[in-house]
Amino acid sequence: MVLAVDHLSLRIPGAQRTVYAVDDVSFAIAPGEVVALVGESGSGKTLTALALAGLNEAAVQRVGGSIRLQGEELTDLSERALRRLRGAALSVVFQDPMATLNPVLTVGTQLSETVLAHRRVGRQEARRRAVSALQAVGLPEPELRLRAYPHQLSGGMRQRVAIAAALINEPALLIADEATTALDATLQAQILALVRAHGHAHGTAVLWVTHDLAVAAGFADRVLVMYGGQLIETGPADRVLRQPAHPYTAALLAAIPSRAEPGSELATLPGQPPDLAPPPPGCRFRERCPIARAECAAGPALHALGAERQVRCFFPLVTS
Amino acid sequence: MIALVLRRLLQSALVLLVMSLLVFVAVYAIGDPIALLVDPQADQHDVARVRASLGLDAPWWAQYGYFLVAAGRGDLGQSFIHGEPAIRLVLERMPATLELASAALLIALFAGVPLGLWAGLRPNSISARLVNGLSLLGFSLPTFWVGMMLIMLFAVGLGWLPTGGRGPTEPVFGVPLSITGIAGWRHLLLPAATLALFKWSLLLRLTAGATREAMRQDYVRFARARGLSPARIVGVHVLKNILIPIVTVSGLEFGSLIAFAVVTETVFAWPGMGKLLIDSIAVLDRPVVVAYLLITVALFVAINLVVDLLYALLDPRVRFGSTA
Ligand SMILES: Nc1ncnc2c1ncn2[C@@H]1O[C@H](COP(=O)(O)OP(=O)(O)OP(=O)(O)O)[C@@H](O)[C@H]1O
Ligand code: SF4
Ligand SMILES: [Mg+2]
Repeated sequence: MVLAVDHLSLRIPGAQRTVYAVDDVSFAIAPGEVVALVGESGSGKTLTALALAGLNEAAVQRVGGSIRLQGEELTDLSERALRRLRGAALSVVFQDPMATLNPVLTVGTQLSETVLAHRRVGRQEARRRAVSALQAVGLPEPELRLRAYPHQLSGGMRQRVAIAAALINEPALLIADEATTALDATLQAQILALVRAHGHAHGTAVLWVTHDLAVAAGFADRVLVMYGGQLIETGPADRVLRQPAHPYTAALLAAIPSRAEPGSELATLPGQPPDLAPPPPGCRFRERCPIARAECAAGPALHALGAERQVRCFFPLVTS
Repeated sequence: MIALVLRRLLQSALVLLVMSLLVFVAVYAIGDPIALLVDPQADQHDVARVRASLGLDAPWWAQYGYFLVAAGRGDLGQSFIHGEPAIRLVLERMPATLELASAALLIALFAGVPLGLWAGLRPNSISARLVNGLSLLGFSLPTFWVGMMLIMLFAVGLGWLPTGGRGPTEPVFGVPLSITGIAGWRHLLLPAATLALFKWSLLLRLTAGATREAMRQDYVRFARARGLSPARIVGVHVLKNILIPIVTVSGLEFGSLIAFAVVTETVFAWPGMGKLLIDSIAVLDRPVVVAYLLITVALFVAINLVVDLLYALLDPRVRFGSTA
């Protein structure tokens, strides 16, 4: 496994209330595997993803759990040691391609500096790697692009540059937080195909955070569905999305007008996601669950459903 | 880029023309210099003769016309008092004022920007709040009072520095400057520090605010996500962005330093254009006042032009135009 997350819990203490934002999340990603982390807004996807790179704000506290990258425990590392891993062993790309690149530095500078921060190579070699990184993400005329400033590129090109910067040192893990959400469907599909191909070819593990189920369906090998700070269903993408086991996943899928249409937002369900300060006792989906029963007040654990799937529900819609 | 320069040059010429009219009319309205120039015992006839000899008998618009034509030849009239060309009087004093204003800007920049950067990187710390409070003081203390306090302390009390005046000058490329010798610096230090105080506060706050803002930007987050060192993030990613407002504001404020120098020069008896202006207003030496105002306006316009070009140089979005 490239990445193994065990019992990760995060909370954000406030003056009045503490938000228990992420609760006991465990998952692993194999080399070359593409995993999608999906869920409604506020379900804790970003906090989980950023925790892996140690990039959460200081206000976000890790209560427990372990994060191992290629066997190395990350939660014990100093900021300095984590910095050596970021951009090298694991990379993160963010949503907004407009703001992600520095407007006053050229593309070439921003790619080269990422190499120079981690590798003992000269400027010439860094520049050569920048060219091949741009080639790898399908940017035409890479030498010319090196001299361009971000505002001279289109949104899609900028996001390719950001991904090139993330992949330039050949990380073992790529984390993307809504990285293509701002792009139109065609561009999004192109970039997803590219990342997937790169991941499979180089053995890069990919964690793709999205609230677009169609993206997860078309792109990921495996999905993790998050609700109210917990994982509520995991498994191979095709099986989970064709035959969801959790009532929440099923409700999400039913609410999408056309499943094949990428770019459609995660449908909104009737009702509100649970308040996590503190979370309600029992099953967190109970308020909105069409098949809730008295037993659900106890609160289900995430348990295996056959060999490859997991579900957090007393009454899953499919049985192993 | 060339189109930008040409457009700005044309605008500058227009601004100068409009300002010359405003200045002329305003100065025309501030009083009759004849009363000061002619002996109160002189008879009507003598007064009329002096008036005619100075061209003050023509209607104001005709006087403006003569003035414009003469100004075109670089002649802004003779000083009523000194009997010398007004423009020469003002230009002679300009190096002293520019020296003072430049020294003040450099002090404000070198003391304000690093401190602002430092405070902006740790906005909630006690030390940053202290720096912030100090800069507030710099905003609110009046220049003449600060100048007098500094004189009392360092010149009168401790006797370390002279109370006023400018040190001996030496020509540098034909311009008489006092910064070539130690004595020059000893004279320059207090007035320059006094003049710098307000701009120091301004630049400190600007830098701190811009730094705080920049640190919140996604490009900083992405730079951190790529494992760049804090030194590179602050020294390159943040600094290159905040330099744009800092350079712009410094340039624009340089003009107002020249204007504010009027007070400082008076307090420190600094022989610059500002002191000449105050002296000339007191005796209604109209041509000198007009020459001062026009030369100052021309300086402002030139500074604005340079700032625009620097801005374009620093910001690639301006330099290459925006496609997004
Ligand atoms: N700095 C913070 N202070 C207080 N609460 C926070 C903070 N950051 C996040 N939260 C809370 O933590 C929860 C999880 O946030 P997170 O950003 O991980 O959600 P998300 O699943 O990424 O949602 P989205 O799809 O909107 O990005 C939310 O309820 C949010 O309100
Ligand atoms: S445990 Fe009960 S309430 Fe929760 S999802 Fe399953 S059926 Fe619904
Ligand atoms: Mg998010």
